[in-house]
Amino acid sequence: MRVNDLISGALLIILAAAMMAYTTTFPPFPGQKYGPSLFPRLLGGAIVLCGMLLMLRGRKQLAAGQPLGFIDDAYRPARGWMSVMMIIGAIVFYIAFSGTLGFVVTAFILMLALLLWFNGKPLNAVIIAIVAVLAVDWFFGWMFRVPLPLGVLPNGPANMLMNLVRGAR
Amino acid sequence: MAAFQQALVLVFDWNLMLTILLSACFGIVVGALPGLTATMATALLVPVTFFMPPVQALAAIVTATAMAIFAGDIPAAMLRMPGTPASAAYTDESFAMAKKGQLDLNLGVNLVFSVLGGLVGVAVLIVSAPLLAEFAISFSSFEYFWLACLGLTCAVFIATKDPLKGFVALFIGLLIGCIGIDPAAGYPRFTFGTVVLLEGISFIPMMIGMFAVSELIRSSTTLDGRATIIAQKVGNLFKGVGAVCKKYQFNFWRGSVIGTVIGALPGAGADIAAWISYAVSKKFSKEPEKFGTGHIEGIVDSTSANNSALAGAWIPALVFGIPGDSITAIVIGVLYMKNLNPGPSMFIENAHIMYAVFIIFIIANLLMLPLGWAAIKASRHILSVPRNILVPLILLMCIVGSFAITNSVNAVVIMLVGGLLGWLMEENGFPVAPVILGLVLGEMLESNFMTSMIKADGSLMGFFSRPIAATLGVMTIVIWIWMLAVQMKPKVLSDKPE
Repeated sequence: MRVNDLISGALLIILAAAMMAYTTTFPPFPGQKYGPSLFPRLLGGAIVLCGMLLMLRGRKQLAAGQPLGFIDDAYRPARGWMSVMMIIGAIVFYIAFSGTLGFVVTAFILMLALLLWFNGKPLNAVIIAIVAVLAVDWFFGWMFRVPLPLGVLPNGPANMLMNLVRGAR
Repeated sequence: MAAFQQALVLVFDWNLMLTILLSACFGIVVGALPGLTATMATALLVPVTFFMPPVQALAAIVTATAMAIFAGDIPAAMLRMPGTPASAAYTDESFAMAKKGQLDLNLGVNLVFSVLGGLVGVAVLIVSAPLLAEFAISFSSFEYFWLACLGLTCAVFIATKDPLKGFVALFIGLLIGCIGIDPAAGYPRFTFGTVVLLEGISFIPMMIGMFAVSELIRSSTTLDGRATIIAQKVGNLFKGVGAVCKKYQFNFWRGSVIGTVIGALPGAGADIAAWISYAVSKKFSKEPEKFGTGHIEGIVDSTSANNSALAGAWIPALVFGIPGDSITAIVIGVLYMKNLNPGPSMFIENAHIMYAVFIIFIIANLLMLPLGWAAIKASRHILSVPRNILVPLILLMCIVGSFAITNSVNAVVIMLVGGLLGWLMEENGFPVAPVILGLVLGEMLESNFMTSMIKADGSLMGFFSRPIAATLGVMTIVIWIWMLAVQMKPKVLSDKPE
C-alpha cells in the first residue's frame, strides 16, 4: 500500500498540529520560561517543515503522472492479502483472547491456524504447534518465570510437570 | 589491572560460555536464512537477555550478531540470496564464483576474512574507546546535546537513501519517546489520562514490532513453495585461502579499516560498510574488469569490512551512548535497562564490564572459525528449513518475548502497532531504523537540551560558549542548512517509484 508523498506529508502536518495543540495543556516549569512543552513543540515544528517539503515533492510527483496511491503487486492476489491479514489477525487474536483462554490454548490455536494456512499439512501443523507451545511454555513460563496467562488451565504445563516431579521426589 | 582480572572471572564462567555457544548457533541460523537479519536476531534475543545479568546479555548479543553477519555469506554464494543485508554487496560476485566451481574457495575466504576483519574491528574498539572516553569525560550537557544532534543527523544522512524521509522517521521516533513522564519536569505527556502510557512506550516490544513483525508481514506474501537449494558439495574450505591472504593483504587491511570507520559513524552499519568497501576495491583494483565475474578481490575487502563494522559500531555506543548502527541502538536500550548508562563514566565505574565485553568480542570472533566451518558443512540442512514453518514460530516468539518484558498484554499491543507502523513506513520509503534511534536517544537528547537551556538561562548562545560544543554545534548547523538547501533545490523527479 503506497501513497503519494502529498498524502503522507499532509498526514504528518495534521499529526504535528494535533500534538502541538495537546502541548498547550502542559503546565510550565515553575520559575522558568519553558517547560515540558518546549521539546515536543520544537519537534512538532520540525515535522511540519518535513511535511511541507514532502507535500511539495508529492505535488511534483502528481504532476509527473504518479497516482495518489496504489497497491504493490505482491499484495494484489487474494492469497497475498490474506497472508498479511493472517499475521495481523493472529496478533489481534492473541491480544483479545490470551487473558480468558490462557497462553497455552490461545497460542496453540494461533499456531495451528498459521501453520495450516502457510504450510498446509494438518498432521505436521498439529505436531509443530504442540511442540512449539510446550517449548515456549517451558522456556519462558518455567525457566524465566514469566507469568504467562493461565486462562482455562490451572497451571502452565511445564510448571505442572515440574511440580509432579518434585512431588514424586 | 584489578578490573581486568574481574573481567576474566566474569567471562570464564561455564554459564557464560554456554550462553556464548548457544547464541552463536542462534546467530548462525538466523544469519544464514535469507530474510532474517542480524538486527532481527538481536531483537529476538533481547527478551531472553532481559532475564540475564548484564555481561551475559551483552555476550549473547555480541556473539549472535558476529555469527549472523558471517553466516549471511553462505546463502549469498549458494542461493544468490544474501542471508543478511550486510552480504548483499557481494552476493552476485560470490554466486558467480560458486558457478565457476569455486564455492569452497569463496566460503573459505569469507570465513577467514570475516574472522580477521572482526578482530581488526575489535582491536580498534579496545584501543580507541578508552582513549575517547578519557577525552569525553569533560563533556557537559552542551557537548552531549550537540553530539546527539550530530549523531542523529549523521545517522539519517548516511544510512538512508532519502534524508527527508529519514528525518521524518527520526522525528516520529523522538515523538514516541516523548510519551510518558517527561525527563526534566516529571509531567506526564501524551498519556491521554491513561495509566498504561504513563511509563512511556516500552522500547523492546516497539523494536520487536518494527524489526521483526514488520518483516514477517512483508515476507508472508512470498512464502509459498520451498526455496530451491542448489546442491553443491563443500570440500576443503581452506585450500587456496593462504594464497589469497598473501595476494590481497592490502585489500584486507583497507576493507577492515573502512569497515571500522563506517561502523563507528552513527547509523551506518555493516551493510553500508560492505557496499562502500566493495566499491573502493573495484575503483582501485588493477583488474576492475574482472569484478562481477566471480573475482575474489572485492569479496576480501567487503567481507572483512562488514565484520569489522560490527565492532566499530560499539565505539560511539559505549563512549557517547550514540549508536553506530541499529544493532547497537538496541544494545543501548539494553544497557539502560540494566542500569548501565553508556557514556565515558562507564569506563571508570564499570571498567570490568567493558573489559569483559572486549574479551567476549575476541572470543566470539575466534569461535567463528570452528563454528563457521561447521555451519558451512551443515549449510544444506540449515538452508532447507522451510520458511513457512519458521514464520509462525518467529511470530510466537515475538508475542511471548514482548509479553515477557512487561508481563502484560499491553506490550503485545505496542508490538502490533510497531509492526504495522514499520511495515507501512517501509512500503512508502520511510526507513525504520531512525525511529528506533529516536526512541532510544530521545530522553538523552531532551534532558541534555533542557539542562543546557536552564544552565544558559534560555540563551541560545550558551550552546556555543564552550569550544568543543561550539565546534560540534557549528558543524551540525552547517549540515542542516546544507541538507535543507539540497531539498529545496528544484530537481527533475523520476516518475519511477523507488
